[in-house]
Amino acid sequence: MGNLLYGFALVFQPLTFALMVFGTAMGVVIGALPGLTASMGIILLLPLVYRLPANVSLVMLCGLFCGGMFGGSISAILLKTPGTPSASATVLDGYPLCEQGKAGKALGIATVSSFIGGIISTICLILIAPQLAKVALKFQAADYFSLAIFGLSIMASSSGKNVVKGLIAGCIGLLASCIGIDTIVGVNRLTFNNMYLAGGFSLLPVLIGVFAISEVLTQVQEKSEAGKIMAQTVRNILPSWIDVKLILPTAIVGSILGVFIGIVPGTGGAIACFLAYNLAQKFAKDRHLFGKGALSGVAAPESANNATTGGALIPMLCLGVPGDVVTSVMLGALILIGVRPGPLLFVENVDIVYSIFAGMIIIQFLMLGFGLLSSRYAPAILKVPNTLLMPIILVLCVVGSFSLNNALYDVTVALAFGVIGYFMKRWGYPGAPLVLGIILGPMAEENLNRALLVSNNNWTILLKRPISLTFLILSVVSIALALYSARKEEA
Amino acid sequence: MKDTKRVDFWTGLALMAISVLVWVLTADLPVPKRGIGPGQYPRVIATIMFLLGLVQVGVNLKGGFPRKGEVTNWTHIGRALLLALIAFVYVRMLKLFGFPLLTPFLLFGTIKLFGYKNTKVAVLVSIGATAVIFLLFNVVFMVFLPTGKLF
Repeated sequence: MGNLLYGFALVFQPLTFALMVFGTAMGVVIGALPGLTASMGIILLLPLVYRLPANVSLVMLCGLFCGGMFGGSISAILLKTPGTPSASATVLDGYPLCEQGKAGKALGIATVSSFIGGIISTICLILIAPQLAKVALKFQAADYFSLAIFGLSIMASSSGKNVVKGLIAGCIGLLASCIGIDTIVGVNRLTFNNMYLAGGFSLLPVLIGVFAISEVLTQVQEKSEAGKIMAQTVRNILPSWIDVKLILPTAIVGSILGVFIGIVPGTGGAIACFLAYNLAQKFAKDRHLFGKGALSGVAAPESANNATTGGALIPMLCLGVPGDVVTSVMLGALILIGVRPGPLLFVENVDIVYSIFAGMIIIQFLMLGFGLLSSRYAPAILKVPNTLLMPIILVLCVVGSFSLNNALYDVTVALAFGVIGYFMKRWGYPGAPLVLGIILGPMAEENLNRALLVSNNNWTILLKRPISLTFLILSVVSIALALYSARKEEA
Repeated sequence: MKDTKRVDFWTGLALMAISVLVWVLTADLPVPKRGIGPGQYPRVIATIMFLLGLVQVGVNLKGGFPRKGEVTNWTHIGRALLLALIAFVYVRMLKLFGFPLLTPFLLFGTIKLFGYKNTKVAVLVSIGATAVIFLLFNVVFMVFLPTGKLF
């Protein structure tokens, strides 16, 4: 409790608070704009992130994460286009409400449900994360190696039908992490005697390339216009007590479901929102209205997707394994600012951990405020066409990658990875395992080396340690299950 | 879902070739008596990648050489690659012309490539966004963007 109060004291520092408000507001705007995602928003903020103290920048990124998750519902309700994949299920009942002239009510319910989801997930984060970190403190080198493999396999196996493609992307990432001077012996490895490659690939340009530039290249393919907003005044956004009472059970169940989905690495808001929607369809009081404009149909997905935020932060902070794409970008951001997530974070960087905990609570209230304000500003924001936004994002990507070392080489790397990311997306190869491979590659190599050193080159150490064996079994099971379900779907 | 069988087949072959290349390139790296050497780790990854490539080739060869999928939209790929090329050229020319001078042209060209029609707004956004980004990074973030050698 004392630590949490300390966290609140840190969060209410003027700079931290101001940037938390900025992050949350930016998240809502970015989430609302179709085509822009929370991960892209975090990437655009990276040049700012590594100039700030770690706890300040992390709280800002958490604000963007939560705000972005909620923001997707705005365009889902007003445009019938989810701003983020996590808001896909919100369209089903949010847009019919908008058609009935109840856009304000739908936005209000989405805001309140997101708030409930966010608060419940933050409570779970505060309760579960320190306990998991205590367990993780017992990990040894072999366990860390297997954990890295588990993280990669779970991310690859969550690539839908393309499990093999996910694994290939992960391997490419691992291989890319080998390029440069080897950290164990100190020799040039796979550098083709190129002095630039000797330094390896910095994470920031790779992140910018794979997640942001590839998206700009994808969007330039087809000329797109801004979505059409149904002509109506968005008002009466504050939901009545009767409405809140109606959706409360649905929102609570959706939140609990969302937290658990968020904890499972490789999943995320997109899965949680549909599961919660399907569940609510079976027990909600207004289930007969589902698909026609049920308030619970908005509450279920919105509470669930926002609840994944706290859930996804648990494995990222305690184990250094991200819960979804956004947290994999956040993991990259953490490493950029010199913080290695994992159990030691809870011992060595208490200020960072509890700033995040306290920040997450405040962020939910900020999100509630911004959500209720969105009725006034959302229609104007949604009118900004992607044709103007995307070129500006491209320039921000260039500037962002340049700002790392003031070197144009990093910009070239970002553009190269942008082109690679574009073709990967086009041919169905997910980008997240590639980036995760680059992030987890050094951790895997270092710990494998350490495990082999202590065991006198005995590879069975990976199977002898119970934790390591568990992670390896889970890796195999996750891939086998993914392959099985892909095959079943094909049949 | 897009039919990418033929692309997958060729990607599988390319992966196998890359894996062999990694084995060759790491052949001369020192092997320590204990622990994993600098060559061994990439070789483990390359071996897995070779096997995955083999799976891709095998799966997509099932039932004969994969037929061509849906017609490749070269206009789409062309537009994306054109934008990438413009960005590459822009980066190459940044040192010479500098960010404030070159970026409005990049922005204007890209906005037009995206298909935005209102030229007046496009010009205003190009100049305005350049000014805001330049000031933000140079003054607030203290990231000194290239100002060019010409002036």
